[in-house]
Amino acid sequence: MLGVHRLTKHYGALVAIHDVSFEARPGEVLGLLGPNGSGKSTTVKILTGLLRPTSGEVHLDGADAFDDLEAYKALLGYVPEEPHLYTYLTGPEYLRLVGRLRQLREAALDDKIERFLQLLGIWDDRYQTLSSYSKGMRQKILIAAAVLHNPRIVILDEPFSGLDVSAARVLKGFVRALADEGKIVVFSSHVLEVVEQVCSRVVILKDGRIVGHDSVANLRATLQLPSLDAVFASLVAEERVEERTLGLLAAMRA
Amino acid sequence: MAALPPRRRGRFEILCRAFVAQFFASESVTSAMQLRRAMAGPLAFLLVPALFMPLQMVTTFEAAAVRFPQMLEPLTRLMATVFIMYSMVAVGVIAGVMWDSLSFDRRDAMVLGPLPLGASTVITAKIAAMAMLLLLVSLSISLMTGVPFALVAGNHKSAADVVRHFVAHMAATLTAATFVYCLLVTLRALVGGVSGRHVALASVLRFLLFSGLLCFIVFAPTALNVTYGGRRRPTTLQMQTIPGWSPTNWFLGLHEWIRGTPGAEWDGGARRAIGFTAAVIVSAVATTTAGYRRQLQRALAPSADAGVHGGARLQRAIARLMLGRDQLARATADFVLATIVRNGSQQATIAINAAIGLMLIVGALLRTTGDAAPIIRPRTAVLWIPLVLVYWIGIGLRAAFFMPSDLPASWTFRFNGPLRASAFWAGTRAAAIGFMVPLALVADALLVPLLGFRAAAWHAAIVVAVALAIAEAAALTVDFVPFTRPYEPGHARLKTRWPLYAIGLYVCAFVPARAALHAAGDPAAGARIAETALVVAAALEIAGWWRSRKWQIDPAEEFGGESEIAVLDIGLVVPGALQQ
Repeated sequence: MLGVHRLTKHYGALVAIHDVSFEARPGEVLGLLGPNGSGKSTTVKILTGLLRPTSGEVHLDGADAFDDLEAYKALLGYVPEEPHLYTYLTGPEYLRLVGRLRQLREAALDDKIERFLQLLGIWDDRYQTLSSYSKGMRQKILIAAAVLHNPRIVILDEPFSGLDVSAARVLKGFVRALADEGKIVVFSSHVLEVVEQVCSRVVILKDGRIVGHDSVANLRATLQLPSLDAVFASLVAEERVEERTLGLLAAMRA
Repeated sequence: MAALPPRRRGRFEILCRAFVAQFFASESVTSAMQLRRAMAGPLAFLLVPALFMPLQMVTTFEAAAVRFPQMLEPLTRLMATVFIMYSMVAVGVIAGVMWDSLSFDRRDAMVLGPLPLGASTVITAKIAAMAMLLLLVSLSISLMTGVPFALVAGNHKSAADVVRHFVAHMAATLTAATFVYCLLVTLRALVGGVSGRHVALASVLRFLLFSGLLCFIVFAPTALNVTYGGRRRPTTLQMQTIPGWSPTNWFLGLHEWIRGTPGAEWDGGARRAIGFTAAVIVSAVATTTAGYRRQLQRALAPSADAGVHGGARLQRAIARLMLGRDQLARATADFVLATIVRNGSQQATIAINAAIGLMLIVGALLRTTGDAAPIIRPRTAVLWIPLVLVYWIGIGLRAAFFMPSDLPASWTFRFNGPLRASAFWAGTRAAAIGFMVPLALVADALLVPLLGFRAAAWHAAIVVAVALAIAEAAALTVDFVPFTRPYEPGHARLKTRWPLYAIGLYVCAFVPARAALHAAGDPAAGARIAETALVVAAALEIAGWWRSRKWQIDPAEEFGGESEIAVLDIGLVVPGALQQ
């Protein structure tokens, strides 16, 4: 089990997250929800070991993940929010780089890469450098790189960004299948419909603090609201929506 | 008085300003800006002496003109050629540095394509921006050289001659600069369409342009020399002859034609200068126009690109031979080699350093007499040719390691790789050796036409041994995966480190060349060189393994944290306060 205990992160005077605690269990997809600046990405980066918390702990099966970061990272797969890749490498070259850094066997690696590229529909572009890939194609490369080593924990930050409808449908099924395989999946997204379809439980963040944490069904029942969208609107309380909409129209016409 | 309403800038003006700004700035990452600044330093360092050298020659010209009045005209023509050459080389180097901005790229098409702008407005604005750059550079160079030269050369004649001389100088140098610049713009637009190869072509071109500038620095002082004889010996005048095929003669023809010097060769030269310059201007405009349309098509259909197939196969094979089945080391070696082969910044760094080596070689060879006899026999100035090139390529390679490439993507190493691993060092060392050894053999092959195959092959063993040692030393002096760290401002401390480079050159090029020269007829001396090379290689290997224990991937805090905040706030955050 992956546990986050009283996680706090300060950037100078700015408090990105404060006293965040939750657990992600094997066999479930935990959704991280929140508006921009709510602390989702900071939480995800701490979970991946790319950022150290100011205080608090990340536990895996009771042990502090940062005590042996290398061993912890070996169990992780991560799709970052921004598709930062080595743009002068081709898709297979990038996947080979990741696979070798993960010290996968060469023969198995080549076979895996070929299968991933074919299944994700980018086999025909295997000789193109990533600079010429569309955002969706880059996202597919990131997803393949994240699961290349069959990780125990998969952390996905806006994984379907830029994907076409059919690819998104396939990958939604893939995310659920990962959980069915007994993996721990953390899924951070803005897209509420996707979170509702994919996640078993959700953690809703606002201004770096948890404002809701339960299964989607329980949250709906507790707040007596029909959908996750309504739950989110109620908890995050986006204020003056109509006023801001009219303001945007006025700015456009000016 | 009523205030004037703010002027609304037209689309053309806005575009033109944006294109001019592209020459000097990059919106990609801060490190690219720092890289550009880092390149601007050496450029200024090279261009300034290159400017002062011809100006200093004006005094030699004056002395020669006084002593040898009958030689005034040939002397004037020689000096004019030197200035024409400087104008061509300097503009060429500037264009080489601005290479990526000399034509439209796919990003231009993607940004400007959807905007309600006519293609003609975009293309005209780009051409205007390029013309402004040319005018800015060439006019300042021509004015700085033209005014003193016209005053000195015209001093022996009337005021009208001074003006005429100045006009001739300006016309010849500006036309020569325009010729080179438009030729490079044409080339840039043409190679922009050659997928996968334009980076390598740009690097070769930069190497040639920088070599041209550096060789000019070496060559210019030898063009004119006055040796004062005193009472017993006569004062002698030495002048370099410019070969008839040199394009500088066309522009010299224009110079002389404007000055009114009679002669059919000047008229012919002037016609060629004007004709060829007009032709390259037309071709630059045509290829730039075609380039924008091609980039618009590419932006719509990126998959039409042929893509890359492998690259650096020999280098990778050498690296793999050294690394065996070590996956982590192979990943590092392949990454290092792919980055060098496919990135202009890294290649430019290596090319500029190789150009410094070429300058030293030319300088050493020019110290001998004009005929070719001294260079077709083994001597230090000949045997050190491949060694000097290898040494400076090694210096360039090490410098390139510090140039970041796709820096935000370095999370790949931080997230997927172990934090500490000697395999990263092994991979970097293997990549450095894989990169250096083939180049060492190519450099040694330069000796074949001079010394014959047998002598060059024998010397190749020494050159490869030195290349191995330099590659080992390059890997020894970095402690991170190359290209994955931000460029540190002030990293290249040329002012304080130049004696180190000089000592390195002495040890890596001069000493082995001397030893090879002595060992030519002495097998025992050859054995001693081999022993020394083995001892050095073994010492570097041990030092490398020891050093590799300190190698590490930067731990967390990649996306922001205490260290980043401390840098951003510069002094406003008290160290230690962040932990409170």
